Amino acid sequence: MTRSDDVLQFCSFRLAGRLFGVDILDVKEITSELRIAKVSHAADEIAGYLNLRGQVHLVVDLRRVFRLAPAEPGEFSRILIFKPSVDEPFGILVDATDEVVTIASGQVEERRHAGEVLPAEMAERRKAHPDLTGGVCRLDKELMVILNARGILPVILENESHIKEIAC
Amino acid sequence: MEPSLLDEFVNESKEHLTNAEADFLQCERQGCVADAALINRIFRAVHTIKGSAGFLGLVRIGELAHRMETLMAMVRDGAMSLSPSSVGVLLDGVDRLGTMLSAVESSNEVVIADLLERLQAQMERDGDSQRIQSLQERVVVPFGGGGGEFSFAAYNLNSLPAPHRSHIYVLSYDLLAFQEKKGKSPVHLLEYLATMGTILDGALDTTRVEDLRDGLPSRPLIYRLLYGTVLDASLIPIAVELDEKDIEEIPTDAFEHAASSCEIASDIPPPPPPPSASRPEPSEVAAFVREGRDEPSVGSGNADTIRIRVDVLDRLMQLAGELVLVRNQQLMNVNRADTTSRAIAQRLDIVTSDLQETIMRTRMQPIGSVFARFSRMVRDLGLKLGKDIAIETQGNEVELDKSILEALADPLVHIVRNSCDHGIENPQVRAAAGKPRQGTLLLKAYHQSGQMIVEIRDDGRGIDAKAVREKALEKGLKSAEELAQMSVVEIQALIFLPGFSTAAKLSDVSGRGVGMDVVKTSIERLGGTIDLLSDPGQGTRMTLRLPLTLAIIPSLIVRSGTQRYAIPQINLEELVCLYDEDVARKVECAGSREVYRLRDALLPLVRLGHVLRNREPFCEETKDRITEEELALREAGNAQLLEDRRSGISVDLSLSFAVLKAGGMRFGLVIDDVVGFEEIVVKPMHRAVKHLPVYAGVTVLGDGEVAMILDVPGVARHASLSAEGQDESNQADTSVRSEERDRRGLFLFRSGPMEQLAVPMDAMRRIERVDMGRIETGAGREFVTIAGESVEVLRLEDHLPLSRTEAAESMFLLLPKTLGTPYGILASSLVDIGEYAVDLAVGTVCGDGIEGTAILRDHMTLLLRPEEIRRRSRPELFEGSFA
Repeated sequence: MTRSDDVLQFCSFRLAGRLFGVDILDVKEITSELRIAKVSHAADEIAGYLNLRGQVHLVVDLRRVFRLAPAEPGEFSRILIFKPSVDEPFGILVDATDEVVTIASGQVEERRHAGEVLPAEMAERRKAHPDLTGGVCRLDKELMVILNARGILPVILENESHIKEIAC
Repeated sequence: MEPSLLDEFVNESKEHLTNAEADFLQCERQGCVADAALINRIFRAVHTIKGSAGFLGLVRIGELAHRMETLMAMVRDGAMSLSPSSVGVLLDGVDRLGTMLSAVESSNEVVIADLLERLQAQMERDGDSQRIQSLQERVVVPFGGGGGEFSFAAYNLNSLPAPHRSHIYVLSYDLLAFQEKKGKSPVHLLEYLATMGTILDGALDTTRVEDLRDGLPSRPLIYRLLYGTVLDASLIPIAVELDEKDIEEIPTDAFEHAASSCEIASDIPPPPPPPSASRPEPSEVAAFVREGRDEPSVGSGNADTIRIRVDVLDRLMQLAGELVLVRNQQLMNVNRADTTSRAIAQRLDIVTSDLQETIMRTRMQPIGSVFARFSRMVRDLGLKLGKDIAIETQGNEVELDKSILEALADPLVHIVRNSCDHGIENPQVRAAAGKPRQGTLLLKAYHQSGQMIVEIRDDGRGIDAKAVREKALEKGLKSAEELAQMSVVEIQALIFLPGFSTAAKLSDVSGRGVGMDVVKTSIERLGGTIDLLSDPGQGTRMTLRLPLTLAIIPSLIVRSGTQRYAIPQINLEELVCLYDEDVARKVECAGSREVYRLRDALLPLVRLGHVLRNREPFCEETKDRITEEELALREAGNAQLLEDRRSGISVDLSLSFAVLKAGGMRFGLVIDDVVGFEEIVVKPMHRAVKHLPVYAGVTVLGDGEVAMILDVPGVARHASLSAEGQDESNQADTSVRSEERDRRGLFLFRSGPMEQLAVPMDAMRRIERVDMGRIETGAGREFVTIAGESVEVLRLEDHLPLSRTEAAESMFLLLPKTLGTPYGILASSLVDIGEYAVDLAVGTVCGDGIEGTAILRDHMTLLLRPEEIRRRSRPELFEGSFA
C-alpha cells in the first residue's frame, strides 16, 4: 500500500491491556528474541541489552516507563526495534504486538485527550512528559494512544538526572 | 569553494610543513650548515605550497610561501647562508603558514606584512647583494597575443637550470576538468610537472572570477603556468597531458637577455583558447585515459599510497569486528567429527584473523608522527626556559591505532613539558652537579606482550620526595602519619593525585592548573596505565602502557550471578583461587574491607556482585554492611564445611578473584566464576547508559550473549577504593616487582584446547612427534616406544584440572629429564620455545605440579613442574626415594 500525506500507519501493540501505536516509519523490526543482558546501575526503565545479529540494542521496558506493575516477559512479549533515525539503537519491550493500523491523519485527536483515556499512573507520567505521547486515535472498538518514539529516551534521561540531583 | 580541492590542499600542505619544520630543526642542530639535500627538500616543500595556493586563490599563503621560497632558493644557490636567526624567522613562517592553513577560508585576511619584512631583512642582512638586486628586477612575459602577462622576479629566470631553458611554454589547465577526468589534484599536477621542468610562475585566470572568497566558479577554472622544460613542441602535449591549443610556446631567445631587458615580446600570437575549448572532448578523454595506462610513470611519485576517508575505515573496522564474532560463533558450533567442515572452519578462522589484522593495520600510524612535534616543542621550551635540552626519539616506526595516537598526544605534551620545566635543570645547576650542561630527553616506543610501551625519560633532577611529602601534607592530601609509612617511590607517585603541583611558582610552560592526575586519567581512559620511576638527582622515567587498538581487546570473561562480564586483560595481573579452609583463613578483614595477603602485600577485595547490586558508589555504611554480610555468610559457610567434613562429604568451597590494576590501584575482584579468555569487539555504550562509570562498553560474546565490559578504574572508584592509603603502596610494589621479573627459558605448548601450558626448558630432555596409532596400552597405562625405549605417556588432564586433549592422529610427547622410568607429557600443539620475562603469580591457581601462572604471549599460562606431576601420577615410583 502506498502511503500518501493524509494517511498514517501505526504499528500497534498492547501494554497492560491498552492499545498503543508508534509511527510505522520509526520501526525497524519486531523481534521475539528476548535474551536481554541486564545492565546493573542503569535506570529502572532500562531492561538491558539485546543482541540482534551482532548489533547491540538497548531495550526499554515500556511498562516501567509508564510506572505500571512490572511483568516478566511472556509468550507474546515482543521488542520493537526503532530505526537509527530515531536515536542510538534501541527498542521497547511490549506485552504483545497487534496489527498495523492505517488511519486518515484527521483521525488523530489532540494530545490533551490522550490523558483522559489512560489509567491514572500513565496519565500522570504523560502529563509530566508531554512529548511522550502524540495524541489519541479512535478506532472501531477502542482508542489507540499514539506513542512518540523520540520521546521515550528523553523521559528516562531526564528522570535519571533528576534522581542524581536529589542524591546530591 | 570546492571542498575536496581545498581539503586536499590543506592536508598536503600541512604534511609539507611538518617535514619542513623537521628539516629546519635538523639544519639548526647541524649548526645551520646548509646540507644541499635538506635545503632542496625544504625548498620543494614551500614551492609546492606556493604553487597550490596559487591554484586556489589563497593570496596570503602564496605570498608568504613565495618569500620563504625565495630565501631558500638563495640559500640553495649559495647566495646566502643560514643563521640561527634566519632559521628562527623561517620557523615562524612555518608556524604562520600552519595557522593560516588551519583556517584556510579566512587566510586571505591574515596580516603577514611583519613576517614578510623580517624575511626580507634576513635576506638583505645575510644575502648576496647582487642577488637581491636581481630579485627586485622583474620580467614581464605577455602571452596570448597580449591577452595576459606573467610578471616575476628576473632572479627566478636566472636560476633556471640550463636544460629547462630550452623551451618555455604557457600551459593553460582547466583545473576542475583536469581533476575530474584525470583524478589528479592540482598538487599532484605541480609535483608531476616539476619532475620534467621548472615552473616559473603560475596564475589563476581571474578575469572570469568575480570574487574568489565567495567560492570558485564551478567551471572552467583556468590556471596558467609558465613552464621551462627540455621537452620540444612535439613531446610537450603528451607529457603535460594538454591539448596543443592549450599550450603556447614563448621564444626562448628573448629570455637570453631577460636579466637586462625586462620585457619580452611574444611573437607567436595564437588567440587565447576560449574557455570551453580547454575542456577535452570525450574522445580525447578516452585517449588520455589510454595514455595514462600505457605510461604508469605518469602521475605523482607516491602512487603506492592513497587517501581513504576515516569513516570508511571505521566502518570497515566495524565489519571486520562483526566477522570476528561470526567466526567465533561458527567455531563453537562446528561439528568436530566432520573433517570437511572442520577444515573450512579452520580456514575461515585463519582468513578472518588475517583480514582483521590487515584492516587493523590500515588504522595504524607510526608514533613518530606524534614524536616529531616534540623536537620543535623542546627546542622552543629550551629557549624560553634558558635550558639546553636535546631530544632523542626511539621507535618512531612503532605503529599504534590512530584513535589512541590522537588521544595520546596531549598527555605526552604534558609529560614532556613537565620534564623540561621541572625535570631538567639549568645548565649552571647541571654543571655544578657534575652533569653535562645539556639535558637529554628520551622518547622511546616499543611493543611488549601485545601492548605498546611509551617511555619518557629525562636526566634531570628527578622528583624530590621531600618536596612532594611537604606538598601533600600542606594540601591535606595525606596525613603525616600516612606519609611516615610511605617509601620514597610511594611518595613520588603522589604527584598523580588530583590537586597536586610541586612547582614553587607557576610558569607559563607547565603548571596551568592541569596536573599529572589529568595525564593519568587520560591514559586510563585509553585503557592504559602509567608508572613512574624517579631517581633523585639522576632523572625520571614515565612508562605508559597502552593497548594497540581500542576496537578489539583480549579480555577475561567472568560470571557474576547469571550474567557474564568482560574484564580487559590490560588490567589483569593474575587470577587467584582459594579452596576450602583457605577461603576463611587467608581472607582477613581490615577496617571495613576484606583483604587478602598476596605475597606480603595486602590486597583489598571487592565483590563484583556487591558492586553491581549497589547503584550508588560505596560509602562507609555500604562497606560496613557488605563486610557484615560477608562475615555472616562465611561463618555459615565454615560451619557448613565443618559439618560436612564431619559427616564425610567432600565439599568444594572456593573463592576466585582476579587481581586487577588500574593506575595506582591494585585490588582483587571477587567473581563467581572464570569463564575464559576471549578477544572481544568493544561497542560503545548507548547514550542512555553512557554515564555509568563501571562500564567501559558492551560486547557480544562468541555464543551471541551480550556481556558488559567492566571499566576497572570505574569499578575501583565505585567501591571507593582510591581513598585508601594502602593502594599506592601496592602500586609501588608492582613497579618494583616488574623490574625484577626474571627471564626464563620456557617451552610453551597446549594439551587441551583451553589452556596454554609451559614447562621449564632446563627440565626437558627432548620432544618427539608420536603417531597415536603406535600407543599401546598395558596395565591401565599407555606406552609408546621411542628409540627402543618404552616411554609412559602421561596425559595431563588425568592429574590436573585441565581440559581434555582432542583426539588427533599425531601428537607431541615432551620428554622431561628424569632419573626414573622414562615418561612423556602428551601435547596437542607446540606454541613456542624461548626466553620469557616471567611475572609469576605463585601460590594462586596452583596445586601440586603447578608452579604458578603468568601471562605469556597474551595468554594466561600455567607453569608446570613435570616431576611433581609424575610423582602424583605414580606415587609408588617415588616411595623409595623418601625412605
